[in-house]
Amino acid sequence: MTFRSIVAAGLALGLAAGNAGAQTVAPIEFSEFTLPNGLRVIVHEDHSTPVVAVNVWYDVGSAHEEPGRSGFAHLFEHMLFQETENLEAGEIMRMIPAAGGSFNGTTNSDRTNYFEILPANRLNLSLWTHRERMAKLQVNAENFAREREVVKEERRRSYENAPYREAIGVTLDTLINDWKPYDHPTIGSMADLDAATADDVRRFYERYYVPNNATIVIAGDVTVAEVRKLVEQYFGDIPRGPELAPLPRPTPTPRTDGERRVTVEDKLATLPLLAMGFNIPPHDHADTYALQLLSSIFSEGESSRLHRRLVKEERAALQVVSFLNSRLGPGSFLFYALPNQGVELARLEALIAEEIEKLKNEGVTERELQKAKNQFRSGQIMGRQTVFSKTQSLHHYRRFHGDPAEINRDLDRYMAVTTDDIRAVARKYLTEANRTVMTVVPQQRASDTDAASTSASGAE
Amino acid sequence: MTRTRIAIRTATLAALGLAAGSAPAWTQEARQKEAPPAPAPMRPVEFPEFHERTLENGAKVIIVENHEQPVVSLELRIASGAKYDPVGKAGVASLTASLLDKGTATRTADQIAETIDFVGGSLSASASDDAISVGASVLTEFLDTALVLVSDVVRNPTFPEDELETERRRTLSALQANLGQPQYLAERQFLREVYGEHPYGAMPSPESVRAITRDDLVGFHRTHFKPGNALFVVAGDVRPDDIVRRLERHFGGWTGAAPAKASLPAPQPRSAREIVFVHKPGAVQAVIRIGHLLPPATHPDWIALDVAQQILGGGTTGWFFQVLRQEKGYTYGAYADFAQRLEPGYFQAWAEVRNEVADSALAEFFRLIAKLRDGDVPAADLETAKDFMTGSFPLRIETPQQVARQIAGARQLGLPNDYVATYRDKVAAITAADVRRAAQAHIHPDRAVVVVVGDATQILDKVEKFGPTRLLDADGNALARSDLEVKASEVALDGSSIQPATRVYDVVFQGNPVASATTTVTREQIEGVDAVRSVTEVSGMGTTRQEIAFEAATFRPLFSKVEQQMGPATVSIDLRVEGGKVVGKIALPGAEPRDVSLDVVQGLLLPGMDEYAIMVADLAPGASLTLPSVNGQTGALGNLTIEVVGESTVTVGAGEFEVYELELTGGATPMKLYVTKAAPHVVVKQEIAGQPVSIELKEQG
Repeated sequence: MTFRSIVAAGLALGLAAGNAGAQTVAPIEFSEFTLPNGLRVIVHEDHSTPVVAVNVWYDVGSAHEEPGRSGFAHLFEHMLFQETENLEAGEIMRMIPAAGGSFNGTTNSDRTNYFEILPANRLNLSLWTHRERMAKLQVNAENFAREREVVKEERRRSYENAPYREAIGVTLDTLINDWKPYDHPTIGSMADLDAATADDVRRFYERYYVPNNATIVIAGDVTVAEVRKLVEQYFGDIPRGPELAPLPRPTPTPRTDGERRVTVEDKLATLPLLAMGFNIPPHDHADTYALQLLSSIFSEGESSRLHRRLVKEERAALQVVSFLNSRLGPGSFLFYALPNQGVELARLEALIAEEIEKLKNEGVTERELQKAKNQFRSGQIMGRQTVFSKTQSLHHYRRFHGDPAEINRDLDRYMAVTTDDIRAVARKYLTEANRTVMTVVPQQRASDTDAASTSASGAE
Repeated sequence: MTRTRIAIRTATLAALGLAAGSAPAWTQEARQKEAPPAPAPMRPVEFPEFHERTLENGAKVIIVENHEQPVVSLELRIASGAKYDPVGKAGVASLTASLLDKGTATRTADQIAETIDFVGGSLSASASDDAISVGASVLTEFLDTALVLVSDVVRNPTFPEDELETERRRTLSALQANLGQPQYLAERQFLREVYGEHPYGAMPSPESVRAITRDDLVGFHRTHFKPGNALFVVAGDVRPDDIVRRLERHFGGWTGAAPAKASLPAPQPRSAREIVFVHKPGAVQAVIRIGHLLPPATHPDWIALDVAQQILGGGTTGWFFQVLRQEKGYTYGAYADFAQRLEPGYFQAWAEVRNEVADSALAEFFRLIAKLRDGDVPAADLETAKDFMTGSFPLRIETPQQVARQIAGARQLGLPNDYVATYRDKVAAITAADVRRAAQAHIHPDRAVVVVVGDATQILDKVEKFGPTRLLDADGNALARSDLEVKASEVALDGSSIQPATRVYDVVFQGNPVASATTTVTREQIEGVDAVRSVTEVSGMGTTRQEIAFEAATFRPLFSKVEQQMGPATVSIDLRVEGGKVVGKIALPGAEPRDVSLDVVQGLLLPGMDEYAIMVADLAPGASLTLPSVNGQTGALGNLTIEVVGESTVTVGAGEFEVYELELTGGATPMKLYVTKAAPHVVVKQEIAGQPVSIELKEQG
């Protein structure tokens, strides 16, 4: 199916192709207040169903870890499911489902979150458990040692026992970036996890798990007044913590100091893998919009440029993807490709480079851009249908754009991107001097050594 | 929903959760601790309003209007599903649904995919027992695109032959993989036993899927895809009058009444308990399914039955889980399903348990069911069940699409309009007496069928204590007790004609070669006999090396070894014949290595020898051959059955070949082989059930 015949088919059908008729998205209304101790609360009332999502973000992630303590923010997340003054270890994980709800907690480089989705009449239960966690955590040598083993097992299972994970998640990410806070992976190293102590946990808790470093976003069938009353009751007496020093200024992007290249042996991989990454600016940079759509044009759907060229036409790749790792500090624009048998990684690299050059020279068509915008808008809007997804979105705009109200303005910026913008960001960031190439090759069993699965240094 | 694509590490909830004791800690004796706050009063669930309309062509429309987001979900349900599959052709409804978007009178499959992709939407179709559903989700501004596509695929599908063949291959491959799964065998046998001749009891089989022709799909479509048989379910950013106008426009020319209701054979309840044992050689678990018919969904006792289901076997708080897993440790999980259907539904208690405790597990199941019938339901258990059901209910109707699906689902079951809206209140009103009455009226363990899939040589004696027992093989055919013994082969195989050779195979994944396998056959003296030795090495995708040897003239096995490293998984099989016994070790990923020690019977094959047995066997259309063999996964003795199921021409890298199609069952993995018609019968192509992988002959010399 060629590109032109798709256009022709679309016209023949008389289908809406442009965004002339695009409706404006109804704004997400919200209120906010801040307690004297610095706890910020954002409330979105949605009375359509008696459900509530409570989502607490602490503005701390692996970027804030001390040298020699990589993996600690995630380890700490586990501790928040342990004993508190009034809860036994793991009790939260039984109480929430018994009330008809669900829960989880996640950690990344920039933040740690803990959330529940519950029947609206159990808002009090959720907030009570968060009060326990923010003010009454009980850390001791035993529960710390136990959770450290659980986290180490998680690392073994999801990194050391999964192909490419160590190479991509640990080596590549830290190689693309020069920003100090991102020089280690969120999962951390075994040595650092082993070195952590219960005292570290207490210090981390006192520094970061304080009301002035937390934001609670609540969405659902609740009123602001009712939320305020419960929040004041449960959190009002928790003392404010120390003020935190800001992270260092982001390093400039794109890098101009030349290509970086590494080959990694992976004992678990069965197929070689090509990974190519370009350093891009922090998420709140104006170029993010065009970069996001550019990635979509490269690889979203079967008619995307890379899929058509590498998988369908050349039959060189089993799979090819591109995406943005966009965050608080400098991020990356990534390409991954798996070769078909007999295809050298060098050929995949050349093909991707050729497609990048072509795009930089010739730009993209209006229709390609429109498709990317449609896909992006559709994903954004369909992802706003649940109270939980709305809490995540409000948090995202507060944390990464500095203002939750951006939730109602941001989509317009994507829609304003032009084909010139797409070409401009491709030319600016997808340069050789800003490129990092990693090839992952299956480790030969013949060598049969106990060598670490990565040969690159500096990862841990 | 953040746009940042940052790897997220989730807490290892399972690992942490396992530390949990059997009773919720906060219900234990009072501590000097602050208790969590009591629930605030339950909010009334104001079930969203919905509208019902009828199009001029007779199609019904249910509309859930919700303008919160500019999104529309559109679903068209045809009130005919797999229960109308022609006899012997189970799978027609499902293939009809799968092929709807694979070509219409004016659009190719690619065009349809492109069109929906361009607007960032989704389009899908599927079949259940009672209905076929075609769904699309789009932003409101692209509503007409969705309507154009849904209208086209529903009204003008062409069911292209090549797309049918692609889909048939995919279905057969998935089915064949299923046939190796004891859980699937149990489910299939359970439905057969419960429903008898009623079509709810017929699942697609390789034979029924092979028997389906394009005409069957065309016929099913022509008969059932009529507006008089259709229900539109529209949810989201639409106004009822407007969407009705659009539906009239896009579906105006579509006419026809619902087909006459076919009379289906009524399923017959059992009068006494019966055990149906499906023998799966080498199984290390017993898969248990206990149950019987329940009344249709419209029976007034169903709310009480739902509560009974939650008490007995709902999630981790149900009695089955609490006793069979938490207290006894027989299993990873034990649950109950009470299935609601338009026609009779069913009750099912289920678990997979360790062989040694098959009898204890059955006893516990029956004890707990009796406890429910006797009305011995503690108030706390009733409350826990009802709290969960009423508490989680609002989470299930959060989006307009979820609401619409609940309404349409109830409608499909013949339930009244207010069924979903009043469900939570009705659950809250159920008493212990209601549960007991419903259990006594509808749950009959003494008239249940008990399907057990397992190794009869290990557990048949444990299971048959529970009632009269019928023994079946994995295909559902009667099996005599004497068939359980592995007998010496009556076929004398002679491998003297096997010549030294080298064959290179491509390993093809989703149509693309991803690795290469080379088999080298030699004739040499091993252990003082003239032997055939075969070494196969796979490269490009992990590393695999298989080496086997057997005496040429007699096929007497000498050894069989496999070493494989595939991703994190390591496989090691090392078997040899010593002093009339097969001895050695099998080490598979995630399991303790097993020691093997078996008596050699006449004609016994070790893993890998099947290829050579086939090479020299007498093959003809319809021929079937059963050989004793050692299962390379379990190390158990079993009967490997090789059946010639067809003839065709296959083109692979090495050329075009006239082949017999063979199915191998009873071995470690069910598979399909294509071998040259001409002897020696060389493997041209191999398909492993359920995997998008085939192995194809590239060159030979």
